[in-house]
Amino acid sequence: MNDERWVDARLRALQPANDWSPNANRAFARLRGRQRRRRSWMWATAMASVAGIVMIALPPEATCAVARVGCRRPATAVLLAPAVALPPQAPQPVVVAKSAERPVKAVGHALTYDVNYKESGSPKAPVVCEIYSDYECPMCGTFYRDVFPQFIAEYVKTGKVRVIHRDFPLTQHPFAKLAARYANAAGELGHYDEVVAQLFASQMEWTANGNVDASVAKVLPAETMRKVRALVESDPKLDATVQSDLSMVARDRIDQTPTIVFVSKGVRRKVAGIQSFDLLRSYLDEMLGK
Amino acid sequence: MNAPGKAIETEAAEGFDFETFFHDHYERVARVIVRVVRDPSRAEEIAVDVFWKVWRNPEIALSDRAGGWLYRTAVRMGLDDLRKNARRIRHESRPPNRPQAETPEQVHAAAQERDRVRLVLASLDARHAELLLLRSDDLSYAEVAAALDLNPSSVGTFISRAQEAFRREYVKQYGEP
Repeated sequence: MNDERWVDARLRALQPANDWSPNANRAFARLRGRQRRRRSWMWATAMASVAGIVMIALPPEATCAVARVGCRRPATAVLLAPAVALPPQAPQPVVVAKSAERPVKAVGHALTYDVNYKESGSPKAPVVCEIYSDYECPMCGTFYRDVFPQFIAEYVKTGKVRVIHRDFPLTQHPFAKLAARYANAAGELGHYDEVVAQLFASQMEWTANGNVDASVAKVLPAETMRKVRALVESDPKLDATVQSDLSMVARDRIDQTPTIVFVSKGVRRKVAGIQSFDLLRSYLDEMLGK
Repeated sequence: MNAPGKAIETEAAEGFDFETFFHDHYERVARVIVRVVRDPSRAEEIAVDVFWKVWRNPEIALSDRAGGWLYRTAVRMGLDDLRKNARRIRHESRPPNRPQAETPEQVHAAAQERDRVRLVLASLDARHAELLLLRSDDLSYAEVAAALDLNPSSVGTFISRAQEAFRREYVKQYGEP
């Protein structure tokens, strides 16, 4: 048999099955999906680059007041990529002071001491968001007021995302640490979420006069407020949770607020300065494989 | 809501209808690739990759040689994938998803033959493999010449050499069937 016929006979084995037919519509949908992902990625990259350039151009102290990109730790000048992959590590538990001797019933919230009040959402959620924030940072305030409620409703309450608050009080903010103590004290008594919301909602007031106490008192019952004050004044464990978060700051090399570390499939990616729910949603949806 | 392809059309080069181009060529490109790779769904993924290149660089589709470029790229990407997976194929002997023969023995023999042909193609010189695959997809000499940028009058000679090389390699590896 000559080579041509012999080779043709062999190559006929590669003929696809008669019932196989390429699905052009599905393939075209794939192309469109790829294009959409590319567009969102380019948009996020451009936004982050602009944010990074502004951060570098402005001195750290001025950043919080002027730029709409968050607060930067002083004496750092690292341009953050939009999503920086971090070394793989499991999400770290929040260290929360537990005080068995405290009267749980007195505040009407059972087992509040044993709950990690800084965490919300299903433990089985496929994505964990660790949010590093500073109560005195204006952009953290914007994030918590404008983005966070929708994020909680669409992703945390639906079991898709677990959220972990992490305190990152910056040294240029004189009242940030005190505000964190109030929030964590309220957390020990089961009122973390409302105090966090109140601190960000009334940020303009207490950052001007330093009266964190008055702002917090507006959302807590008088008896609870009395206990919160006692804890803020004397409980050393409140600092332990902040210290634990600060060790994560060093580990994740966080240098500005707000920064979110997204943990998915064992990979940690940090994204700084998210100020739009649409951007957050497209990033999360991508991660959740929508 | 956007009609299918609208988003793509809006970003592509002026006057270029990507969706029509895609539908005109997709099926044939996918069929070229499925000859080379064993998994039809993988073949379709590679076909999408081929069109992604066109989307990123629409000038390709606007040139006179768009068809040739498509088939050449399809065969090359298919062969690249085949070479990457050649070792795995060599050690696997699972039957195909959709048997073309009737008895289990025939199914097995057909699968074995397909794997042998693919492994021989993977070990051939890339140009020889491209020539054989395009020719076996019923492309005319002129089309093969356009796809591989060859002189049409020399295509017959090149194909003969490729066939000789294929037979020699097949017999060397597996003996006369």
